[in-house]
Amino acid sequence: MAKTYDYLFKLLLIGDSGVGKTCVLFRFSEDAFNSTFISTIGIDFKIRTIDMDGKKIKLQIWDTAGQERFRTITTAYYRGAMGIMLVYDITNEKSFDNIKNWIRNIEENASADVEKMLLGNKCELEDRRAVSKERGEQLAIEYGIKFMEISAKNSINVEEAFFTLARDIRTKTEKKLEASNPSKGNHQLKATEPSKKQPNWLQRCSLI
Amino acid sequence: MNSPERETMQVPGQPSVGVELFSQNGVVMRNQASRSNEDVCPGTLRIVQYSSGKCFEWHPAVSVSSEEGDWAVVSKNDSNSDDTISFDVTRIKEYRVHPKNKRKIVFTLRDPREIYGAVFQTDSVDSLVAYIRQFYRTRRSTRDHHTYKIIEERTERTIQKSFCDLEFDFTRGKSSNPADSVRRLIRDFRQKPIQTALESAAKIADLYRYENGALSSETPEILSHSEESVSIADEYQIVSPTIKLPPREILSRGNPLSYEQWLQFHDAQGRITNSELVKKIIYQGGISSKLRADVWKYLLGYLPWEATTAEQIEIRNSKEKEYNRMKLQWQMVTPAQEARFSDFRDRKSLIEKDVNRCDRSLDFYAGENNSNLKSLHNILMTYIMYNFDLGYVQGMSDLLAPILFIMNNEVDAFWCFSAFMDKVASNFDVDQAGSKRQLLHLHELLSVMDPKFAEYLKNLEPGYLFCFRWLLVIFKREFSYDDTMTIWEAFWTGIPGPNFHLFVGLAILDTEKSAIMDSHSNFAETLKHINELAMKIDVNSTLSKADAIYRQLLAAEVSLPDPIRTILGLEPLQKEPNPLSDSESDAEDAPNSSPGHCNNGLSQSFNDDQFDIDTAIMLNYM
Repeated sequence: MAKTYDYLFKLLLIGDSGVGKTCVLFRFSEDAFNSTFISTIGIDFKIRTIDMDGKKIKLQIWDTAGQERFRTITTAYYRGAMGIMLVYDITNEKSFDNIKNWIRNIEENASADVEKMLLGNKCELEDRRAVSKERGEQLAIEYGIKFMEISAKNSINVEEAFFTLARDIRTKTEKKLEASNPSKGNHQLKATEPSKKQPNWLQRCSLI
Repeated sequence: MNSPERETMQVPGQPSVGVELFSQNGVVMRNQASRSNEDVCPGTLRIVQYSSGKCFEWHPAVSVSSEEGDWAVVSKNDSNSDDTISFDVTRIKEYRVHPKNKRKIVFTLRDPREIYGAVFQTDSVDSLVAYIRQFYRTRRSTRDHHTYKIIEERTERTIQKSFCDLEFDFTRGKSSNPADSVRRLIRDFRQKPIQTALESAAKIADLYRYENGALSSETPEILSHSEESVSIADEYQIVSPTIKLPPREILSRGNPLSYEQWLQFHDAQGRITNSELVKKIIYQGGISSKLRADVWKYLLGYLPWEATTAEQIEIRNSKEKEYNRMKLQWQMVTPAQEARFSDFRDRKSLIEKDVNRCDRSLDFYAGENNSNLKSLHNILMTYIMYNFDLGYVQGMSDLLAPILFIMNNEVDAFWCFSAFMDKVASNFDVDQAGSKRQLLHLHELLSVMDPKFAEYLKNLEPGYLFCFRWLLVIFKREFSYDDTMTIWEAFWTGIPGPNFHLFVGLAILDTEKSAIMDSHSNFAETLKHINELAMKIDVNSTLSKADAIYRQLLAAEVSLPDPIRTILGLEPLQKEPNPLSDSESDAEDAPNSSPGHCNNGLSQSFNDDQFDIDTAIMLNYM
């Protein structure tokens, strides 16, 4: 079968229940918003192929249940993810405070070099804001990751956020590629670190 | 279907009171030797234990309510003894199961004037045959491979005798004297019990599969489930045949329980007279939608079937008081208390989030300031006061929403919901242990039904996580409200044991098998395929298939390993964890009072016919 993309990146959305992970994903994959969404049970993913500097990048974005209770199920999906979006709700202080727990989860379960990004969703609800933009920025600096406030509902910065994460992953993998294989034009590289064993369904999580 | 032992009523010609050991409705039976051409109506076939021995009894049923066509309330005939059939089991010379139609069986008695043919209208005769074999030693006729002679009732036996009963020479080529073979086998059992057992079992299994052409022509699909390697006791890697299941027989769904039928089940005081039949009708056809609010209360155990109208009112009043008391408890929590009670706060916040996004596309829950959302919220908040240990877990709102939709009343919905939660509580374990266990059971069942497919799925994802959502909310996300309710109703009857939802899962997997195996080679694609089945699955064919798979496994009951028996809701055969590693004494002494209590698995396979052979091999294979 003919390849329809140059790169395949697996991304993951995590964050407290109700911060809008599914809506962010729906906005990015379908460019739509649906206020009647129901809570996510288990896991699901969506695909969108984007065009970046002439290369087709297929993004496989995994959506997970947010409740603590399902962590034993969802952490299985951390491994093999090349980029993780940490999402909180700017109207919900607790969801912001919990970001540190989600970061710890990443440290315990994901690849060490996974690209991360912090997203403050629901930024259209300015009158209900509980977490200032500065606090978001400060936390991102603390963890050395990028940050954006977004709105799935009003389609603010969602596109930009995913492109930014995808670009960072691409830069990182191409750097790795050059380091390990000086001959140009060969994209047959493994983007995974060998030290951690992956579940077999993610073993092909590599650049194709 | 086997029914629990219970006292049966007196029947004509049998003055003493007996214990019913087996009962099957919908059986047409007549004496073929009498050449009577009268139409015979269906009735009930029973095996009854009297002090004098076991007795086969059949008597016709009279239908008192057959308006719905498919379903009839069955009651005992007015004792017209001419219509009943009764004979002592010891009078049976042989029986023959029809080679093409597994619902027909003929009993030939020692008196040539009595040849009784029985046709089971709904089930195969396998459960009856399994029963007979459990209590009687049988031997396949040399004239006709479908005929079995009844040798004797199972009592204390020795293994030597059992060996002599074997019909084929499993020590072929070694000795022409059967007695020598038996002696050598017993010696081997003493010296190297496991190896000898496995070798012998393998020979028998090979012979069976090689020589039994009749079976292969009837069940090619089953035999095509080739050998799978299974390890026993770590050190033995044996090639075992898979469990042979009878052909799957799919019955079409019945009609939903109708208002007229429901009325007829009420006695003058408002008690439900035949709850078992009600459940059977519901299991096979569901409940007509306008009756759901009423019937669910019984089905879920909120109201006892035997409660009179007056008692129901009393129960309802006391439950209402209890509900309001618990509701008041969380309503009384002050903001200052809440600020110092993080667990309560977290639960409350989670409930608010989920209530706000629960089935909002449905009219019942749509729009702002919807009072039904308020009820949903109240019930879930009250539930966390009722069940502090569990609290609120996502998925619970899915289980409640259809119940509230039907009850349209907080108190009734709360108690029905909490009864439902009692049935599925393990789904919401902190560590997801309950969910994981059920997913494992799904794999174990599929391994019996379709080993290749099970292996395929296991290689994709050992934990079967692609089916997680199905089981967590009992298919609520996969079907429309109406269809979900039909599935839940079948599940709540408890008729196919406690795990009917697993059979629904097996049915869907079976339907999707080729789509999954042919085009989805990895976990992600398979998950996508399964997630995208939502709202596209036909509920009736799925339930029919789930039921057929259940009966198919049940018919092979005696050859199923204990883990599978347990999932089916049957008693395990083995009490000890690993009988094959037991000492040599097993091989010789084995005082089997019945194979149901066979204590080493080997004697069973050697003293019965091939139907039991797989048991020895499959024991503890999980």
